[in-house]
Amino acid sequence: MTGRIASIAFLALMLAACGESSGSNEAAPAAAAPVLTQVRVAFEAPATGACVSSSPEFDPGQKAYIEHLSERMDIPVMLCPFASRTEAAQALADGQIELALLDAASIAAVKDVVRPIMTQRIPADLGRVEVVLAVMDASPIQSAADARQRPMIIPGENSTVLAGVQATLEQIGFAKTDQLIAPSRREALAALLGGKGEVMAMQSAQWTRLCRGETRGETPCDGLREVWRGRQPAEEAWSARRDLPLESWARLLGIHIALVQENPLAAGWIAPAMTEIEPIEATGLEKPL
Amino acid sequence: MKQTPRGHNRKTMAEEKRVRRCLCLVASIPMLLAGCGSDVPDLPPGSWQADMGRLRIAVRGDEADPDSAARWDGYRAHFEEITGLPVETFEATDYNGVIQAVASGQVDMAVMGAASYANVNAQIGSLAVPFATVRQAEGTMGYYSAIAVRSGSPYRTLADLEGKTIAYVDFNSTSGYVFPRRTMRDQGIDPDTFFARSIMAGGATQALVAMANGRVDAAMVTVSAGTPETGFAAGSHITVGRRGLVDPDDIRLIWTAGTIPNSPFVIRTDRPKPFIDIMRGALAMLPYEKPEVWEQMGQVSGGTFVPVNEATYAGVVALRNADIAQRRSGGSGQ
Repeated sequence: MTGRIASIAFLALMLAACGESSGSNEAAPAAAAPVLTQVRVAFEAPATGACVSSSPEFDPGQKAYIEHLSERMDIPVMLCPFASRTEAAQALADGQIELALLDAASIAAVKDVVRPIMTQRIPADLGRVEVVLAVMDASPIQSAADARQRPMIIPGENSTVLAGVQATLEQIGFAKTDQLIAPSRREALAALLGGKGEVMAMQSAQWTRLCRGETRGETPCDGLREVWRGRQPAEEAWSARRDLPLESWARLLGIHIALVQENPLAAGWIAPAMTEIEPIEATGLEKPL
Repeated sequence: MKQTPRGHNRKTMAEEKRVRRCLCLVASIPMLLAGCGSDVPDLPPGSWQADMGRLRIAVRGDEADPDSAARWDGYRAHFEEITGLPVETFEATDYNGVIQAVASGQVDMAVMGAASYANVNAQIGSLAVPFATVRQAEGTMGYYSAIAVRSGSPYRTLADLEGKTIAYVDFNSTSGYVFPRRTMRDQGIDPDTFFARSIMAGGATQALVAMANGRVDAAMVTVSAGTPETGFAAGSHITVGRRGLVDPDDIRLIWTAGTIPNSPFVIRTDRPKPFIDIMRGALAMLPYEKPEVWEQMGQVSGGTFVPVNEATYAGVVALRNADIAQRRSGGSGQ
């Protein structure tokens, strides 16, 4: 019976896309690459000290986190006390630990070898909103810095999205003045083309949908240029060395983003706000202006 | 375990038998062999990769979109880069192909609608679980069913469609069949008797084309990236316009039902232990690290993957079970 079901299933599959992309016939680099053999995680403490996997001073959340991560990664996990984020950042850069919660200031000196990999989702409907700034091709505006103080057009078709876009702009240094709110993204575009503003700002999803057009062959974004794209900067993020093996990176991330769902006690220690842990891009702690 | 000339190792007898059976089937259908011929690379003995040998993913193709298969190239490369495994995607022409591929263990992972997952769950329980889905840039993790009619028609409300004809998508389609029918029943309408006739179009695009051509009066479609109040920035009604199949101005949405949890990635739990965590992380990092691949898949920038579990889809599982019970007791509406 099982064999028959399997046969039917296989017959039902069209293998139009069957195969693999280039390079898969070679020895697999990721499989052959080293993976982490231990995870040492920094935490803030009155004084810097040695990494340990257990301590009578650990609270139940810390113990649960160590147990959970160690079981899922199949390697030893230790917590390492640091008196400051700067010290933790340097230890990360030196390969003495694998994870540390850093902010823009503490990562600055080591950002060539360290990058953020995950952060807590901000408690807002949309999380860290990704915004695009676009101008006419002929515009002298070339960057986010150039766009500051220029008349801006923002679509307001979705009030939640509008609030998210405005919050992002404000956080990266744009004043909330001189903004024309258009009823829709298409009307925002018409306003830009009509010279009612010099910069159009919108959520990246709105930009994508605008540029896709609504009818076959329509290319509404011809003649426009994207001058900046980025998300709201995170206040802090769990960071790792840039040479963190991909497989270990994916495994750490896969475990952590499910932590709030799977192990609230452990999540309560590493993500005290109990919002989700989510990935973050390499520049996620930086402000463009 | 002895290594085979092609580099297989640690294969169990059962696995070898299964592979041989599949190869026999493939050999009998040369058409299916096109593009399939991956060699298994040398994998570190004792590793989870060696246990798996390769990664097989089932997806439902879109006959109306010939580029849908090519869109998986970026995903395949991404998964290969992270896992070191050769990745094969199997494109099924219908919902049932994906369902049976997962249920039978022919594939390790699949993307499927919530109702399709409910079907898998009914067959094999927790041997396959949902583990990730898309959160749209608008913050929503769900979508809606909608009834579309020709804008030139007199139909303005669901009540206007009594005694008319409708195109559903597929028996296993969440938004195109299962969910809206339950919602109609909750609103006091029995879809099996309310409509004079219904057809299964095979896809939302086909349902809209059937409606636009006058074959049916209404089509059940999928809409997302918004709410009934804000309007929907994405959905079948937009897609057919962009493809030039139906003029968007000729479509009017008159009824919605939702929200429905977004389609999950479903994974077999009888694979090596690290597999699910690594795949969850691999998916999650994609929109941040490879936004071009994310968009290549038809996703919109600003969206992300989020973790889900069986509880996320418990409502849809219950709906499907109730719909099957209803059909068994009172007909299918066909």
